Amino acid sequence: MPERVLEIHALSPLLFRDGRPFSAADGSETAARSLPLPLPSTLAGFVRTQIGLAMGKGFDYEQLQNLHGLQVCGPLLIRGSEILLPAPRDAVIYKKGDKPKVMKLRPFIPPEGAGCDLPEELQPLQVTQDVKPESGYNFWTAKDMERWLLGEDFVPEKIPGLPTETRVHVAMDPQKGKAREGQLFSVAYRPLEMGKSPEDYQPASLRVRLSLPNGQVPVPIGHLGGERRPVAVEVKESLSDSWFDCPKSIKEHFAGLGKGAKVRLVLATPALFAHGWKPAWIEKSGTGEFHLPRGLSKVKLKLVAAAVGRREPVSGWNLRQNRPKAVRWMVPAGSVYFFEVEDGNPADLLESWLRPVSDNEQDRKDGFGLALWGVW
Amino acid sequence: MIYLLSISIGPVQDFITAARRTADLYAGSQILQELSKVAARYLANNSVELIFPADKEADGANKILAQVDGDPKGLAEGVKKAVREKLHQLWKETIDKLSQEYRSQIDQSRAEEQLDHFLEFYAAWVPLEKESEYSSARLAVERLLAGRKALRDFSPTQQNDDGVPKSPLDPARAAVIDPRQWGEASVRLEGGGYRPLRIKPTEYLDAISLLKRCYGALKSDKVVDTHIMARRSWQPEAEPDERYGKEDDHIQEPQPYFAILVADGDRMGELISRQDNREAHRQLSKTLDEFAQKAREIVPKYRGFMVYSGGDDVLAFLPVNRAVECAQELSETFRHQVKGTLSAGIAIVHYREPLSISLENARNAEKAAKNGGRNALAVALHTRGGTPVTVVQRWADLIWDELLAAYKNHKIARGLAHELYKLALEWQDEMLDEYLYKEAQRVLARKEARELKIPRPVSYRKQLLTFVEQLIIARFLSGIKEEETHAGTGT
Repeated sequence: MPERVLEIHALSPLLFRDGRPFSAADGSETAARSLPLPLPSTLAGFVRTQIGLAMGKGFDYEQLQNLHGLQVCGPLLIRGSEILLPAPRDAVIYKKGDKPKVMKLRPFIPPEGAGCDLPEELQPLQVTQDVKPESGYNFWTAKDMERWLLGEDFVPEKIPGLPTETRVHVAMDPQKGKAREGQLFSVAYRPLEMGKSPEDYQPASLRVRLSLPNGQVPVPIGHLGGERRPVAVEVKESLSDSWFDCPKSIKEHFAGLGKGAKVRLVLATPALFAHGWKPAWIEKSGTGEFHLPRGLSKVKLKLVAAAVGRREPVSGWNLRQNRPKAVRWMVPAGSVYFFEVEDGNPADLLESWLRPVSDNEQDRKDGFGLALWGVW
Repeated sequence: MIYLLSISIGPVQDFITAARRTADLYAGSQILQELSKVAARYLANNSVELIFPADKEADGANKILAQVDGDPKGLAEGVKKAVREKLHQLWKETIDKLSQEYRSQIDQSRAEEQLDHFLEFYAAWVPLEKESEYSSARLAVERLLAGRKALRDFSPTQQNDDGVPKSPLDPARAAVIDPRQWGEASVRLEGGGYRPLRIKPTEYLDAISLLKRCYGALKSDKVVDTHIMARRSWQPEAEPDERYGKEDDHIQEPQPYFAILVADGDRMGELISRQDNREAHRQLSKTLDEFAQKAREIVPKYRGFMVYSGGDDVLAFLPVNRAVECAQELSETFRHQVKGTLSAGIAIVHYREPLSISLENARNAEKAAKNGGRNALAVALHTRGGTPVTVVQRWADLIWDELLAAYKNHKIARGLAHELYKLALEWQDEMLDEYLYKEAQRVLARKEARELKIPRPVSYRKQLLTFVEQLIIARFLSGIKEEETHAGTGT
């Protein structure tokens, strides 16, 4: 099954629910907020639905099992035709005078006597400036990310991400045909477009990568996210122009690395790990064990430090049982793990480039924890 | 060996701003303060010298800096344990005020799981060999703490919540109650009597939110909610007791607005860095605590309600027509006491708008004041359904008084703003500024408030728009009592 890239275009602003209950009813939350990007599982579910519809075999148990087994990698945010990635958390952008600067956070061993309460004797990251981070640097271009992964010093382009468009709705009284007293609710949608001002707005879209079973083409129109907002699906013909493949520069750099190399994992989508913030596969890395994320069974890694943001929840609605799913806590996208290679060929790690490295196999199939690799 | 130990307790955001009602908000800030005091007391009782806060009983410090003689790691662990235990103790004490009927309906094991995972605690320490190295040691310990906080470690959650709705305040936690059974629930007050929790059938509260709701109800004689605050712009004497037990009654337009004020000191990091010894830093901590105490006296003078005041931070609710005056007095007091400048944001918001969103609006206003060069006041108007309007001005350049007076005395009505707005919008950029200025003056000359100063032309269209925005906001700040029908025509 050859892999394809699907591009999803919004036909109206979208809503990516954040897990909060929401309705126009009195006393509940009357404002729905949207996540900056849909969760990987939301997109995986959407893509599987479109393929299931195209197959026309209905959604019986067996068919569902097959669809669930489909590996979907994504989403990547696209501006025009450019790939954007969540900002890495080991970069702090701040202003000195009027100029933006970058502080690179790197692990360090505190001087004699100094210490902190990090778990498992991890090293803290070295803060060299007393600054407040500038907001708005939420996404980086793939080109900037490549340079960052190689350890270059530069200020990335400022890309805040998708704008928010808040619309206020009223609840209608169907009998009287007028708005109900006091029953306002607002929804903060995400239009898929980006730019500094309406004049230079560029269309944005979402991409996922997957193998289409038997060359099936997904149904081109569907609904994505909350409030059944319509989207169009386009199959991209050229894989390598549409996806962020591991750049040559990084491949070359990794080819020159050996035992003791210092490598960095940056998450391009949120990840789910068995130990909460910490991947359980670290202990098993390099043991040749099956069922590990790609490449990791061949390379033994030692965790030195990490820059991980606050946990983010993922739950959702179980449509089959018509009830809420259990909540799990994700490591946010952009989190960074600093490793030392203890054994094996570091270049093998690149097998998991933009492939999922979550611990659980189904989470990987849903696209949680797409990996980017760099050095430090 | 002597060390500097720095501790940070959180999550502040979750404690304070994740709230549906004013009482929740107040409860969150009070609980955070109680926990911080436990931390400060634990250190003080272990012969540690506190630097910030200087006094173990000072309010509002979720950050602690102390000088330690001995084992900083062990002390940090001790503090963490004491704070965790206190949270569980608060939960137990508060939940005990519910009747057995309701207590038994709480999913206790899920509640324990949520309480266990709620607190964030970070600590760092560095040796302090000589007093003369205080400044550099302090800098080093704060940087080390920041470097430690890059990793927000958490363990996986086991809430056993398949099929259970999530909390509207933090969807990372599932409900511990079925709110449909809790409509009549109440808490037992210290002096006898009961107070209803007023849990609505859709309020799927998690343990932290339920703790805040019960804790807030126990203290609800102190809490002034958004509804009462909106009323106070025309009924300054309105008190929370008046609507005890009552459901929200409706306030007609254009009155249902109140103000949220968020303020904090400018460049506090630099100010702290300038303290080159422990004693000077302790003195600064005291000064900040004195300001916080003063602030707690100032806000009620304007019929406001102090939600949180600690160090240089202020979060308060105010009647719309007193908010600017109150902000000015806070700024003056800060300047005199702390010898620094304050930036403040005021958001004018609807009392029925979800509190979390209104608080975000207020925080954004404060950010606008900081981005506008600090030492400034930003006022943001968020009407329901309208586009938000924000005006930022340095304290020294504020011109609200004049506009407010003109509205109060019915010298202008809302029509003026809209007339000028239309004019500014239709004006083409290549047309002469001077003509626009003259035209604006002509419009104004027809009003009673013809002596109102409108800004002189320099890239005039933009200036006029800012002025118009100010006019629109001023109408709300003046605490309009009713829709004006005939004011401002000069007839």
